[in-house]
Order: sequence, then structure tokens, then C-alpha cells
Amino acid sequence: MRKNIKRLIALALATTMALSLVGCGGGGETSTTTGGSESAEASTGEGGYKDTLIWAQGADVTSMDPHQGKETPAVEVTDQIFDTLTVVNPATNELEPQIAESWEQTDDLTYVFKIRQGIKFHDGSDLTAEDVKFSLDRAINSASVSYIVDFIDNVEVNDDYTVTVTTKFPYAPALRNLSVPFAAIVPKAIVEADEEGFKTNPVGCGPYKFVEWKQGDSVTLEAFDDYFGGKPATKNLIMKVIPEAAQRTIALETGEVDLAYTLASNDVDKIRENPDLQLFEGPSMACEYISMNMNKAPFDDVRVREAINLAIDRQLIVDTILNGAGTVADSIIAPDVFGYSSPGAYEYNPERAKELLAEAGYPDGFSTSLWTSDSQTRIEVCQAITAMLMEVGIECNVEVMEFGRFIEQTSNGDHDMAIFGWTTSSKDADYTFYSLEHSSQQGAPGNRTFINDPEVDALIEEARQTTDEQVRLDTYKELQVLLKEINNNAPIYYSDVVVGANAKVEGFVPDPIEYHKLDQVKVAN
Amino acid sequence: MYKYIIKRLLMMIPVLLGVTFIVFFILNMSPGDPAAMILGDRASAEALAMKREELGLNDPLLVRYFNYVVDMLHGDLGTSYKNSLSVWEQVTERFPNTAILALCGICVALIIGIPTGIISAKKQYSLMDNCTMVVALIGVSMPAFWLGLLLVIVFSLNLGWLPSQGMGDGGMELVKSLILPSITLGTMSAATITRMTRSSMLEVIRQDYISTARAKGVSEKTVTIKHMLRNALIPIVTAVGLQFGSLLGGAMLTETVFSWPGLGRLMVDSIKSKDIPLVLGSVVFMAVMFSVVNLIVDIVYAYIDPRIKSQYKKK
Repeated sequence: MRKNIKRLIALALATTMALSLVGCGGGGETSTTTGGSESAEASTGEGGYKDTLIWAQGADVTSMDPHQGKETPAVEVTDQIFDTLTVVNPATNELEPQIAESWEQTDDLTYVFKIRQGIKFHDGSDLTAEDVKFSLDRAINSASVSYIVDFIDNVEVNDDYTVTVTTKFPYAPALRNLSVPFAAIVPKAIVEADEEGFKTNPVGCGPYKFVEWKQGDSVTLEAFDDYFGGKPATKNLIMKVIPEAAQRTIALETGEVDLAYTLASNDVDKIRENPDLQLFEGPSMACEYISMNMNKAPFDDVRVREAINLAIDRQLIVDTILNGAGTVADSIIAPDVFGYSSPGAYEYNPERAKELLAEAGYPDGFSTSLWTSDSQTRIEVCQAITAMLMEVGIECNVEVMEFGRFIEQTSNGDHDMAIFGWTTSSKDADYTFYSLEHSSQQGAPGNRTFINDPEVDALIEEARQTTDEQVRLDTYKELQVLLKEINNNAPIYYSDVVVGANAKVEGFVPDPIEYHKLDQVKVAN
Repeated sequence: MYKYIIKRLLMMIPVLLGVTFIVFFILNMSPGDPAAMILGDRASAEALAMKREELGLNDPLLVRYFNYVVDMLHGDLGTSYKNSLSVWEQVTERFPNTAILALCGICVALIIGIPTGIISAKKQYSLMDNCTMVVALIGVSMPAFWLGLLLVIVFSLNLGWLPSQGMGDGGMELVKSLILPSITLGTMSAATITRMTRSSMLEVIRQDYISTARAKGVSEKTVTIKHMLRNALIPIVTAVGLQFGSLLGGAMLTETVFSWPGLGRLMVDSIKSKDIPLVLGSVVFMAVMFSVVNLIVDIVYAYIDPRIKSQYKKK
């Protein structure tokens, strides 16, 4: 009887498989390609390399318009299509020319850019100074990305290949801000002729041309042979949207994709141990930190804030929750950001924390809450911190909120403590310190500890207005020491950029902001 | 009959108004400013004001709802907050993907559900029946993401037969990419259909006309299919219709697990980013689809049961 049932079940399963094959068939043209793996079947390109590179990312492009889609999944694609005036080399972190061949700062407020001649947009038209002016003005007027270029007062076209950019005030990080992909240069004629069309059919001057966007599924790009930086290494790029992190790893293992971005931390070891795969790890420009609301008691007391900083065992969080894919933070900017200087590591000292709490008048601790948006890693980090705070007598409640509500309520200053992640996209300290620590930026613009300290403000302003790099570095050093004394934020860790790849992938350099450039990447057969 | 269909189609208008009203107000009154959501954690007051103006969020809620309904009646579902693309285009681009998956899913469900239901009913309380019911119970309770991942691990990772995710481009590739998601979707619906088939078969199995048919010497096959199944079909068709309707609305979990670019995932993504026009557009579309499927089910009743047909005629 048992045998019969087994047979029946086996038969049922086999029939289902067969029938679903038959039932779902029909329609559509027949294809000669077999197997599900496009990567495995991709036709060969030049010199023993595949002509198609497929990468998987967790979310679809929000907008193909670089002055609108500023989310990482959007930039990961648009960054292949568009270029900027300047660029920061991901390996050396040095500023390099891109569309601008050279520049000159004639006074504190004026930059004159010489535009490289012979750059072509994907439609064959020449890139001129008019396009640069049009693009920067367009970015300034876009609510989504204006913050990156709003230091610009005026853009003036001197001749076909020279542009003068005047800033509103002396602004040292100007050139690094212009390297952020949201300051992309777009073709004036095309955008003006059909702005709606441009959003679904983008035209840039980057290494890859746009071919197709199947929303929610994939984006196909093709190498732009006339790219001024040289012909890209791989002919075709395909971005696949795979929302589940576990599925991205599986797709990598089955060979369906060559690269997989943002992996789950528990998959990292699996990839590391697989001889057919390789793991690219690198430091990111992102810091996860807890903001303590200085407008609310007891966080208005520096001793309480210091006690919280002392009560957190950062190394334990990195080792367990992140599985080692991160580094303990000592400042809210990552070590690779221009202006970083370690103010000394945060000590883990629960005994001292208890003493400080007692001095502040809380010998038995107090009750508070820690807010987080609904990101799994952040929730786990918060739970760990809650347990750590409990050890020094602080009873802390984790409140998980949907992102919109989280942003709105923390902007209003309704929180006690909240966890945030911040990426220094311009790779310059000003980007972070001005937003998170300057008193003029309280609430929605970024300062959610509501710090209002004239000394901090003065240092931030001094560093952003001085062009002397050494003076800037010294000022930021002083600022970071001061902030560590104020303890308004508790930096927890710098996350690593982790990209899984097929072992045959060559030439990939992980970008610390995850805007990976793929024009030099190729996959061996 | 036609009168009835037209009446039913007209009845969709208040349904749609009700659906849009509820969804519009829930989304707009839930905390979280869409402008802040789009601009992220670095948004100056000017940028927020600029974005709100751009999205038309400064008008009173009722005015916005009124404008939305007027536009909707003109066939304009608005543009997405997130990428300023037409909602109608995005929804209709995704719908065929969902439809093909739903169709295959329901095929799998019918192929498994109806025969097993019939066998279970005819052999009530046998070992076979008990086993089937246990399997059906597991099927109903099994989360789609778990079953989906399990199938992927076995058939894609270990055996390498089928793609683990995505939607293939036409022909064999499409068929291959459909198998695992269809089985995942179908198994859950199959369990419901099996249970429904069994119980409605059991209701007719002991009716006098079945004994009469057998006494007349009608073959068991004819008795089962013509006399039992046909009379038991009404609740089954209802269940299948409901299942199909909800599958058409996008099987969010299955679509997410298999990276299937369907309507369900579009809706999840737009809810996450509080893209109100896109959520509303998807919901309106789903509501229409659901109503249409229900209408089709009602029409099918008439062909299954002549008594119902005569009632329609009276209407």
C-alpha cells in the first residue's frame, strides 16, 4: 500500500511537471536558445571573452533621468549611460577630469571648465558648453537632486568648449560635488525636444547606450563605440532585477548572472567558499549611526549621550550581525572620505557608562525608545543595542516604522533615538558634516540630533569655504574631536561594499558608493 | 442575458468609485509625506516645497480625489510620483506578465485539484482520501516564498534544469521560466480547489439521481463526470474564479521570489515608496479584472446549470 502511495505521488508530481510544460506552451516565436541561463549561453565576444555581462541588483531603476533617479539602483544603471564633468577614481579616491578636460579656479567663487572636444552623445551629436550649462541648470531646478549643485549661482557659456561656473559662496567641495552622478551632463537638444521621451529613452555620452528597459525585469545596454574614454570591454550589459537577496546568490551560483550586488550577509561565506565564484569586498562611504535628539531629556545631557556611546559593543555587532562585512565606526564619515580623521575609537565600557548615568542623575537608568525604518539589518542592530543598553540600566524599546513615517517623524524631532545610514556620495566630508551637524540643517535636511553648537557651525563653515586642502583637513580633524566630545551621534559601523561575481569576471573594481562602473569589466568564456 | 451583462458592467462603476475612495484616503491619510519619501533623508525645506508643488500635494484632499476621479473617467490614471511615467502604461506593461503566470498557475491548480478532489470524494475516508487531505492542508498552509525557494534549490541549483528567476523571452525560454512559478502558485490554489471539489462532490454523491443513473446501467465514468461532477461544479467554478481573480491581481510573494515582472510586484514596490498614483492605478486595474472574472464566472454558471440560464433569461 505504502509503495502504491509513493508511486502515486511520484506519478502526480511527474504529471504536473509534464502538463505544466504542455499547458504553458504555445505562443511566441520559437527560440533556439536552451536553458535558463543567458549568461552561460551568451555568444562569445572578442579574444575569449563573452560579449554580454549580466548583473543582478535588488531593485529596479526608479527613473532613467539622472536628474531625478538618485536612488542607488537607478544610478547603478544610469551611471553607465551618463558622464559628469569630473570623476572620483574609485581605487585612488583622487579627483580626475571626465567631460571637463581641465579647470581653473580664477577666484574664490569662479571655476572655468575647459570641455573636452570631440565628445559625442549616443545620437551622434557633439557635446558642447551649451549642454553643460543646460544640464547643471536642470539639476539645480530638480527638487530631487538640487542639493548636490545648489552651491552654484550661475553657469555661463564662454564659447563652445568653455564654461564658467560661479558659486554663491566660497565652496571647497565644488569639484567633488560635480562628480556625483546626479550632476550628469545630458543633451540639451534631445531633452528640450521631448522630455517625456528622454525619461524612458535616455541619451547620454557615457560608455553604454540605452537599448531597452523592461520595467521590473531588466535593462539592456549596448557599448557605445565612439565613447571618448575608449571602447568598453564588453559589448552588451544586462541588468536584472532580483528583489530577493537569496535569489541573487542562487542566480550567481547557477551562472544566470555574472555579478550580484548587495548580498545578504549570511550568503557571503557561501560565495567565498565556492571556487566558481569570487567576492569583491571593499570599504564603503556609508556609516550607520544612532542620532540622539538633543532637544529631549535626558539626551540634552552630554553624560547620558556619552554613556550610551560607551554602552555599545560595536565590534560584537560587526562580528555577529554583519558577519564581519563592516568596520567599527569612530566618526560619522568613513575613512576613505576626504576629511576623515580618527578622533580615537569609541571604547566599550559599560561600567563607566553606569557611572556617567549615575552622575547625570539616572543611577537606575531610564526608559527610552530607539526608532528604525523597516530594514532587516537595522532592526537586528537595534535589538542588539537594546540588549546592550539594558546592561547599563537603560530600558529601550525598538520601534520599527515604515520609511515615510520614519523620515517624517524624525524630521519633526519626535524621536528619542533613531538609527540612520548615511553615504557620503561626494566623497567629501562637507557633504555629511554640513547636513548632519550644522544648525541650519535641523530636521528634514539631515540634522536629526538637532545639534546647535556655534563652535561646530564655525568649523564646518570654515572647512567648506577654504580651498587650502591642508587647512580643510586640520579643521575637520578638530571638528571630529569636538563631535566625539559632544556625543550627539553614536556612529556604529561602516558597512562594506560586497559584490559577488563569477570567478571568470575580470577588471571589476567595487565603487565605495556602489555606483559600480562596468566599462572595463569582462567575463572570460 | 445581454441585459444582465450590461447591468453587471454598470455595477462596476460604484465598485470602482468605492475602491478608489478607500484606497485614496487610506494612502493619503497614513503618516509619511510622499515628497519626503521621494527626496529621502536629505531634503531641504525648499526642495520639499518644490516637490510637493510638483506632485500637486498642496491642494485639499477632496479636491485631489475629485480631480483623480475625473481624470480616471477620462482614462487617465495619472503619472507616477517616483518616475513621472504614465501609470496606465506601467500597469498595462506588467499586466500581461501577471496574466500569463496566473493562467498557468490556475491550469496547474485545476490539473492537480479536480482529479484529486474527485478521487478523494469517491473514496471517502480511505487512506488515499486522508493522505490527499493532509497534502491539501499542507498545500494551503505552505508559504509561497518557502515552496518557491525549495523548488529553486532543487530544480535550478541542484539539477540545473530550469532558470531560478526572471521571465524568459518568448518560446521555450518563456515556458521554462514559467514552470517553477506556476507550480508554486498552482499548488496553493490546487489545495483549495481539491478541498472544494471533494466537499461539493460529497454533497451530490449520495443523491437519489446518482443511484438512479447507476441503476439504469450508466457506466461509472459517465456517472462521475456527467451526473456527479457537473452538478458539483457550481461551487468549484466559484472557487476557481475567486482564485483566478486573486492570481490576476498579482501573486506578490511568488512574483517577488521569482523576480517575475508582474503587477503584484509593481504594487508592492509602489506601496513601499508611497507612490500613490501607481498604487491607485494598480488597485483600480485589479478591481476591474476581479469584477470581470466574477462576471465571467456568473456567465459560466448559465452554461453549467440550465436552471440558472433560465433565471438570467427572466431578468
